[in-house]
Amino acid sequence: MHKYLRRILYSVLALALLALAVLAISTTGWFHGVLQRQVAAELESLTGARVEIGQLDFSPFTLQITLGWLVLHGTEQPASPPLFSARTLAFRLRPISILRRKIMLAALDVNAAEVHLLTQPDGSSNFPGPVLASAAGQVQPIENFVDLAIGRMTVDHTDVYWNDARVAVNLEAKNVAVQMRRTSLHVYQGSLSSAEVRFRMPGHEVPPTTVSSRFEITPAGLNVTEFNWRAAGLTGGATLQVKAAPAMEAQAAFHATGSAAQVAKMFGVGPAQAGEVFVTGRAAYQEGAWQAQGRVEGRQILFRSRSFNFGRIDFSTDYSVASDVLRLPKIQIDALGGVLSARAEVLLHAPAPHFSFRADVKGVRLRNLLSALSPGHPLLRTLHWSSAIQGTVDASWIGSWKDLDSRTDLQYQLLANAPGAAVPVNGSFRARLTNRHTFALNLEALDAQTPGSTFHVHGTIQSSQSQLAVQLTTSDFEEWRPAVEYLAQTHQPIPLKLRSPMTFSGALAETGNGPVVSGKLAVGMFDFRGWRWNELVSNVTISPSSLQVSTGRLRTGNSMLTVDAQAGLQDWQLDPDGSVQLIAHADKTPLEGLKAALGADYPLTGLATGQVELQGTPSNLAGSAEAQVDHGTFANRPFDKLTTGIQVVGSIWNVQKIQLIRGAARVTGQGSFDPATRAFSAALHGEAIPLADFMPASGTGNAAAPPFDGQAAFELQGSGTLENVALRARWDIQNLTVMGMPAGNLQGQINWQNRELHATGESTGAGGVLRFSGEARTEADWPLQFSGGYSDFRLGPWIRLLLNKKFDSPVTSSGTFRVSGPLRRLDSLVVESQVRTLRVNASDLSWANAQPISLRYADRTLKISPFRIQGPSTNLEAEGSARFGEQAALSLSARGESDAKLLSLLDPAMKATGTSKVDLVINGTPAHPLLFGKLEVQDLNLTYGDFPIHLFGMNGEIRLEGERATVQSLRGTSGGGTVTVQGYMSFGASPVFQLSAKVDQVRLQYPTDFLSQLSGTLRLSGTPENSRMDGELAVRQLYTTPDFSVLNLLSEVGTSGGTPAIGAASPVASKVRLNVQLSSAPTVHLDAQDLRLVADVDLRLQGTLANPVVVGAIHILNGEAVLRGNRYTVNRADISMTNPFRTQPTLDLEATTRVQRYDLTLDVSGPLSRIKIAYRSDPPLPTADILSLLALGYSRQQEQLATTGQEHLSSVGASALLSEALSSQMTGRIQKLFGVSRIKIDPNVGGPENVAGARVTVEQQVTRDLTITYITDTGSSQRRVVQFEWQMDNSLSLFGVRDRNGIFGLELRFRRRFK
Amino acid sequence: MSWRGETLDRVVAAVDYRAITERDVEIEFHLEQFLNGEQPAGNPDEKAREEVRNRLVQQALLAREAQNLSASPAPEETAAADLADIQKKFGSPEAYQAALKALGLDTHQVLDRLRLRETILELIDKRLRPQAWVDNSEIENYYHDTFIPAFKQHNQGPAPDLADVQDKIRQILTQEKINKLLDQWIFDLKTTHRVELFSD
Repeated sequence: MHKYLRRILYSVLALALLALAVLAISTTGWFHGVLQRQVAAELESLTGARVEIGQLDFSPFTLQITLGWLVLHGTEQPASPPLFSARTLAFRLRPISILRRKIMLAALDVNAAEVHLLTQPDGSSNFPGPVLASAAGQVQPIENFVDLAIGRMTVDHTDVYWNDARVAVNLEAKNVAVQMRRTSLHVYQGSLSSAEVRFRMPGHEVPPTTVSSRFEITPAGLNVTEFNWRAAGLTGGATLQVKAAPAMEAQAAFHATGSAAQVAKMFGVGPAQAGEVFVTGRAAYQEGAWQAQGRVEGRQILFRSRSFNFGRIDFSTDYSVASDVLRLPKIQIDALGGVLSARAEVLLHAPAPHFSFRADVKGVRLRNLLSALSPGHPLLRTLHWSSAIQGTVDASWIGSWKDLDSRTDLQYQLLANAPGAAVPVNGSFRARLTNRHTFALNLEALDAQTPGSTFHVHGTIQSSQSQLAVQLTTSDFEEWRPAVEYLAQTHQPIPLKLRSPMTFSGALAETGNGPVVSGKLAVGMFDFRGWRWNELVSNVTISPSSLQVSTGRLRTGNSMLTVDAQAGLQDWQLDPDGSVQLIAHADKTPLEGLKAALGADYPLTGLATGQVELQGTPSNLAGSAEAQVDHGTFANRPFDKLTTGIQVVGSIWNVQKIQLIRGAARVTGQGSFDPATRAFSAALHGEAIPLADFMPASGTGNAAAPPFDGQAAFELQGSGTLENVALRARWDIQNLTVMGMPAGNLQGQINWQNRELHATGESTGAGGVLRFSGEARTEADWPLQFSGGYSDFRLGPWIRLLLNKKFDSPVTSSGTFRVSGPLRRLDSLVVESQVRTLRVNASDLSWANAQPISLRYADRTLKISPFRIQGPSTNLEAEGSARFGEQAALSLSARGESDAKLLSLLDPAMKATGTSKVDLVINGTPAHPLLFGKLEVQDLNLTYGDFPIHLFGMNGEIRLEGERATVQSLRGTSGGGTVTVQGYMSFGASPVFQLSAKVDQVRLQYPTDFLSQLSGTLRLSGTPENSRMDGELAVRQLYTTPDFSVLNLLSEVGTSGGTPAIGAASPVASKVRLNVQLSSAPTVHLDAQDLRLVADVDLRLQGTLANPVVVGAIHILNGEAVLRGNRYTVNRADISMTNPFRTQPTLDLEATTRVQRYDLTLDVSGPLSRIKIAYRSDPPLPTADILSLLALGYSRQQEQLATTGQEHLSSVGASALLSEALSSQMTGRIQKLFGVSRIKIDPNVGGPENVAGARVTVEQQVTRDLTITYITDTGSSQRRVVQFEWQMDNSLSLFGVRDRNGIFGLELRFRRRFK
Repeated sequence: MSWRGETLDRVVAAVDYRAITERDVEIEFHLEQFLNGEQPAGNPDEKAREEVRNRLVQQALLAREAQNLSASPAPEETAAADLADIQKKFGSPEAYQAALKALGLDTHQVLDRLRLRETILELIDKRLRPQAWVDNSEIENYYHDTFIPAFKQHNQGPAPDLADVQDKIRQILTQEKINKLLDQWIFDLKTTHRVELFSD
């Protein structure tokens, strides 16, 4: 093994020695000479030229050979530039090329080289051509003589001259491959390719390009059969034929396709960001001049920058270049919704080309154009104008817009189908843009008409100065709203609505210090911030540095405000050091409108009349103002008039002669304020101020009343700064009422100085006495110490104020109080009070405390020390605490006895006596109190309105368990029976109750004279807003009161027309619905002095407790009644009540009686208010006779003819006259029927003789069944008849007559009817 | 020998197929004379005959109505009293008897006729009086429009007050209304009953 290692080692050493030797040799001059000769020989062989190498450097480590001052002489004249020369030419060999026996260069760098290729008319050139290894006169068919691979190649500062044509070449290429071969004598073919060629062209950025080419060099010339290139976004190809003889000619065809972005970048023509460009063309060089023509197209080119965005553009144009003239005869550009057809010509002169351009615009959408330009001019985005533009644009310029002269004549035409929100515009635009020495735009006319506006501008715009005349008339602000709001830089909509045209005529000028807008603004009726004005006219001049309003006039109705104002601005904002001048006159100008116009917020409204003059700087104003406001409000409180005068001196505002009047109330005074130092002074006096005017009514319904009322007067004097106030004030309120209840008079005063505030006050009068005094330090938290006392102080009004509901019971108290704590943190105040006496009077109840009560309120907690309240039947001990606000809680307890009269506080209709033992604890929160404990009811007597059931001697227990009160068993009596109540009531957010009462043999007096004995069950359930009472009651017995009489009952029914009401009129009762069944089981009997009935009751009580309705029926099975001595037998009777809305008994009764010999039947029917009675009799009698029988016991006939002796006849003649008339009636009838006259004058009762004189008949009912008739005539006292009739019974009567002759006769009549 | 008929009697009217003969007419004529206290004599002329016939028809209708209504006949004493009054008209019993003989009816027959009449009168009163209601305004009108002028025509001095005479006036007006109602009732009866009148 040693041998092998030794051999290897020896080999390595040998190689190393060899390398060192080579290296040493390569650095020698000898080697360099050899190498130089070798390189020259190769170059000569390759090119056929004579090679001169000025210098050769070889770096063995990098295998780089650097040739300095390399010259290749061709066949040119010695005086002509050599075929090739280069300052340096360096190439680096790749080691592998030794193995491959092929020249492979890692790098080739040519610097400052020149190639001079001269071609003769005969096609010969100064390029000798390679020396090829071939037999003399014989050419190998294909002989490669160049096969070069270069890893990296750079050519810098190199020019290639072909005859006189020069092309500068600066490039860098990678992976270059060059092959050339000779296919025949003097015909060379080759190929050239490079993976990455970078051409360095000033002004152009050419991306790395892959190039491949095939060419052929013949004596006739060069034929590039293929030249393709590919770069990022670019591809293309070309062919080139160059003929050197007889004259230099060249033909080329080319095409290229590339992304517009890349092309624009390459040629620096603008920010195209998308799209494709296609270029085709042919070029020819002939007679020393180039010509080219072709076509350029661009598709969907996105032309966009930060200043504009033209969107997708399509263009196409033919081009031709000849004689230094580039012509674009048919340019077509599709953009912005329209088409530009143009032609252009460029004279490619040195030093700068001349451009001429003309375009016809057709159908370009104005909206698109504005949108395209809006990135650079955001204002244009606010103009939603829609129109189609057409016209012409002519322009010419030199180089970069030098001597530009452009004329534009465009018309805007309405679109047939304009977008919905767009404003259609039509008009015209004529302008001339020049650039002689500076750009100038002469706007000959810019006219635009929209549906609501017309707009005209003309003038000039130059970089140094501009002047435009503007005339705008619009009646629709909405068309300009976006633009105006953009200019005003406001994010809120401008609250302007035009009701009439607005015009502005003026000028817009640019003076180098910014734009100046001046002109006259006039508008008729308009609304601004909801306020309507009739006219605004003003001359306005505004610039970034000043604002001037002159002869401004603002009018609404009969009011007028004129303004002349001037103010210095700084960059459109008020300059605090700039001058300000304001003169304004107002005549009944509504302050609300001014507030709206100025966006001000002050608590004053009304019609202002006055004037103001101010001048100076904002920080140092001087001037005066006088104002009067009529029928306005101050802090939403109305007043009749407010006047004041203001003097401003050194920016101190002195408000003088303040007078505020409302009715008899007056506030007068003066004051001053210095905004700079915030110092003020004020003196105010007020008198006869009604407090109610300043406070709205509080409460609802009957409790609605202003919280405070009275006549107030005050004096106030103050001065100092807002941080250090000195103030003295006194007030006096007479006849103070709190929630409508008298509270006396209240006086007080405040003295505030050096951050110490002292206050005292006193209230005396009907509300009791209250005195207080105290002080506070007006810094930091404003610590406060107040104390006072009160005696006989009525708490009722304050309780009503606190509870916001009606509270009439007088509560008075006496004691002392103390308040301490930070006035600025009211929650931290501590209020303590020692109540010596507390009296409560409620509904005949009077309570008072037995010992003083300590109250303490702090940290939202009110603590009440144990106290005792005593009164008749009341002895309660209570204590506890209540926490308000968050984490509110109650902890109260009460023990003792209380009077049941308290129940009337719940419902005024409820009257109660008795006592309750109270033992309860109140927890929970003030909003949701929870009661625990029990109430022991003792001897409770309870009535409720007109409800007929009264409770007496109720005893029992009510357990309280939080929100629930359970009635264990409450037992008492009512109407001689027993009543037992059970159930529960729940309080809380949704109170409900469920109670049941069992009644046993309870007597109920209803109607007035009737007593019913009831037994059964009543149930009351529901909520206070909706409850129900149902139950079943059985009528056991029916009685009447001792003084009952049927006649009285009938008379009551007749007058009242119905049953008396039994409801309890109260709001609670109206919410209790009734469904109580009342029935008799079995029938009920009624026995009274003159009435006996057997009835069956089937009734139901419905409706509400306040308005109960009885429905059902009472069936009277049989009965008897005695009325006016007549005994009536009730055969049948029904009292039915069917009206569900009102108790309306309807009677259907049949009763019979007998009077004299008549059987009378009464049918009584109908409602009690309209009773109908039908009378029947047997034997039949007229109704009047029946009534007479019932009422008087004899028929009306008899009564009619009977005189009581009181008939007054003034003379015998009258009687005879009437008798004759009567007789004639009777006689006529008889005559007609029988042909003879009646024998008797009196049709019913008669005497036997026909007398000429008057006959007097007297009939007297002595008793009900005895009637005596006395008849006589005036002619003779002898002629008298006396007869009597005695009704012994229904069938037997005795009739007697004593005639005028004194003969007396009796007749017994027996009567029997057979039916 | 000539055979020549002789009219003994003929029917002059029929009410519900009940005939009223010419003889009935003559008897009624004479009865009316008798009831007036006159000696029945002579024959009624054409006009009187027709009037009597009409009266008999009315009486038949009313009698039938009384029968239908089961009206109680008038008491006998009433008819007797009437007859006694008639007797007095003749001045003497002899004259009465002669008239009675000339009449061709006996006392019982006359009493029956009188009783029937009273029955009819009572029926009329009972049937029509309830409908003959007089209100106060009618009484006042009669007082002012009829009584006062008539009173002043025959009397001097102030007329009595309305209150003093209103009862009488009420009676008068009641009877007046009954008469009117009677006419209507008879008219209705004629339409509801079969009434035939026969003439020569």
